[in-house]
Amino acid sequence: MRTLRTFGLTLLAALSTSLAFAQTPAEVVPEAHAVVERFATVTKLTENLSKTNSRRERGSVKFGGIEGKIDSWSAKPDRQKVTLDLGGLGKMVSGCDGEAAWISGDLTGSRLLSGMDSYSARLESAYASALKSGEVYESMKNLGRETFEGKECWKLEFVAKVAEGLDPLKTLKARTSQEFYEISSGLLIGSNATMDGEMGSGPLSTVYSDYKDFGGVLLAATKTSSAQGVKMVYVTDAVEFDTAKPEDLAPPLEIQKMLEAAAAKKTE
Amino acid sequence: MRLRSLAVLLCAPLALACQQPHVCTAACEQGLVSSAPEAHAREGETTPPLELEARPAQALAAPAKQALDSVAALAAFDQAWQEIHDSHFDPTFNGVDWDALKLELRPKAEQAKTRDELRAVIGEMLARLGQSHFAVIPSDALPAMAGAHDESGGLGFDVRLRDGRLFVVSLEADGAAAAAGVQSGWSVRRIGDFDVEAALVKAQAAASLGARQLAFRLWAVAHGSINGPVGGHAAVSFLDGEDHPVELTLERKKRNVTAHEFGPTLPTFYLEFASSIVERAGKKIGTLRFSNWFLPVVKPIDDAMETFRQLDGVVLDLRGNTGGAAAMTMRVAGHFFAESKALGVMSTRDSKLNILAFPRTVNAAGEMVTPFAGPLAIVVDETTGSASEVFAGGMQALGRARVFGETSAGAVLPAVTTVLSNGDTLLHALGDFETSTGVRLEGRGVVPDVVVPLERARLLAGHDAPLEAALDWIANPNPNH
Repeated sequence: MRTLRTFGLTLLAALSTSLAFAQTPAEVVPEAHAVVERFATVTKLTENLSKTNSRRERGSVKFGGIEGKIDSWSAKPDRQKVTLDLGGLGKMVSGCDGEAAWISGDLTGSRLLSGMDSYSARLESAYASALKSGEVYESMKNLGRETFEGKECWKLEFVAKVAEGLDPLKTLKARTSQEFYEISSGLLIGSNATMDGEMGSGPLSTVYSDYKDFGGVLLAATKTSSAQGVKMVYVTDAVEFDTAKPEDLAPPLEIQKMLEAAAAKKTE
Repeated sequence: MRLRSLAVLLCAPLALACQQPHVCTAACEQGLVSSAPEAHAREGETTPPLELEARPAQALAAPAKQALDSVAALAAFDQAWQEIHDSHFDPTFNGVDWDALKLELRPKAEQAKTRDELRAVIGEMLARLGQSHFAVIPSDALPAMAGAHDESGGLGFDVRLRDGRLFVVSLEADGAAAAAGVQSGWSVRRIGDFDVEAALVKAQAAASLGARQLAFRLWAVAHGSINGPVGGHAAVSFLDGEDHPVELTLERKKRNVTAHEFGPTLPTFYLEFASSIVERAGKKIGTLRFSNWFLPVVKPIDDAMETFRQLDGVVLDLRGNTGGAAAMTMRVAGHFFAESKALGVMSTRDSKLNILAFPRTVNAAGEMVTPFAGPLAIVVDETTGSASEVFAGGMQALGRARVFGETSAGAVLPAVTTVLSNGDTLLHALGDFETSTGVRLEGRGVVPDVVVPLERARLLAGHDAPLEAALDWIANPNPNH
């Protein structure tokens, strides 16, 4: 069902984008979902996400004079575990099983995320999050042309549906994000989001670049994020598909125990 | 990949707020640091001019006097200026007209003939901010200081500056100083090449140095002379309890420290850790002491807290702890809270990062545990800096700890490093910290609930007055009853 809908959207996207690029005097601005579908088609993400069940990305991260390794696992439908090995700062692991999200660091200790922190993690853990499912968003708009990093882009705005227990107004900013899709190539080249939760708040902007073919799918090998006044550069060196074992996505022991305790508390 | 969640993850350990006395000391002494102590504070400025000096591990070994062309000099100067322009947490730059300062100093940078001259200009620019954690770390510092900063050995004593004299405040039981009969309360006149009086005269010439800054500075310099490679010797001049001169040659014995490599732009840290259980007035009290907030001390702290769980109280002695990765305060605070609490907020120009206690509800064995609920006392003085102040100030503001001793360093800004085009490293603060009650600690420090000054007479009598006051409070929290 999902695949059929995706195909349908792809066709629609192809139509929409071709209209958009006709550059008629009164420019036709494609629908947001059409821009996303074009991106998914150009990168072969649609095909990849339907064919594969898990993905592993490995690479490096640099920020503030610190260098580390990153190992990220994602699996259908919405599981993820990301491990950062920051050398002298130890390891930091974050994860989500579709319901519970957590972080655990050698330095920081462990924590089950709550509120908007948890919701944001759940949104981003969806295996097909790049396709921007209409089930997730209450609105998707194309705000029109905008220059981003010197490139002409469609600027899309997404507002995620409000989750149970969250205040719709207070979380609106954190539920809202913008993405920039290059008009000429169809590629996603930037995004703006707002972090706003118990852990902290502030803007997060990301530039996606250096698209490379990883096993038949085009992925941005370099992602440069700016948050909390720091620039963070993630470089993906290798991507593999369908190699995940259950233990690869399992949380650390401390988190497992915390999840068990939380579940027991819920059933009391 | 989840960039949003990762960003939060990554920002936490960035709260690197620390002083490194050993590096600062030698760099200053050797004239390697562009921002000399006296250049760090503006006239009348109360902000402590404590700088974190570090050496890039993979730095270019370019001699300080090496000739420099004006293009290279300007490139490095402009980069340093721009980095701070773009990342300083305060858009007013602590009241400094940052654009005007560039116009003023850029011609000086252009005229710099050597790397040292350029460092002096950049150092002057940083000093105008009058804030902690802004410094230039010379690229040639590493090879020049590599041997001098093996701190695995030590003479076996620690010092503090009071009333213009440097007093021995503690002795290692198996150290050379104790073996030679040195006692707490003796004063130190010279350690090797480090002449205390001469250093004091030099430091006091810097009129803007306050008492706390001066005390920290001298402690840092002394540390650089006390510690060094195992087997090295130092001639030390003391005055005993009756002020009679005592001349000793002491050998540096292996210290009980863990060497920790933090990253490519910072030096090796030699981490100290100690814990014990003491009895006082029938109460059992756990004591913890560690020198920096870094990974190797995480497990020892967790293990110690596991053994402290049923005790009557805990004393955390943060004297001599100059900071580290402030993110670690989240973990340690979690030992003392059953529910998440914010120690405070680190603010950058457009973001806020809450320093939260992560309650420690599962131990290393995977067993559910209850965080320690008994009284916590924290001991501080002017050598308590940065991440230690985040912890002490944060716990104090939440009413979870009672603080004893003397006011801490007041150097709390979280910082990162950037390698400049000339190979030097720029250390620059990018955030500020306020406790949960809105108290800004930069410049102010953590003011103890119970001020317990160091007194020579008490030292000579073998007492550690601040620590004993903390133990007494736990042993008898309400003496009127």
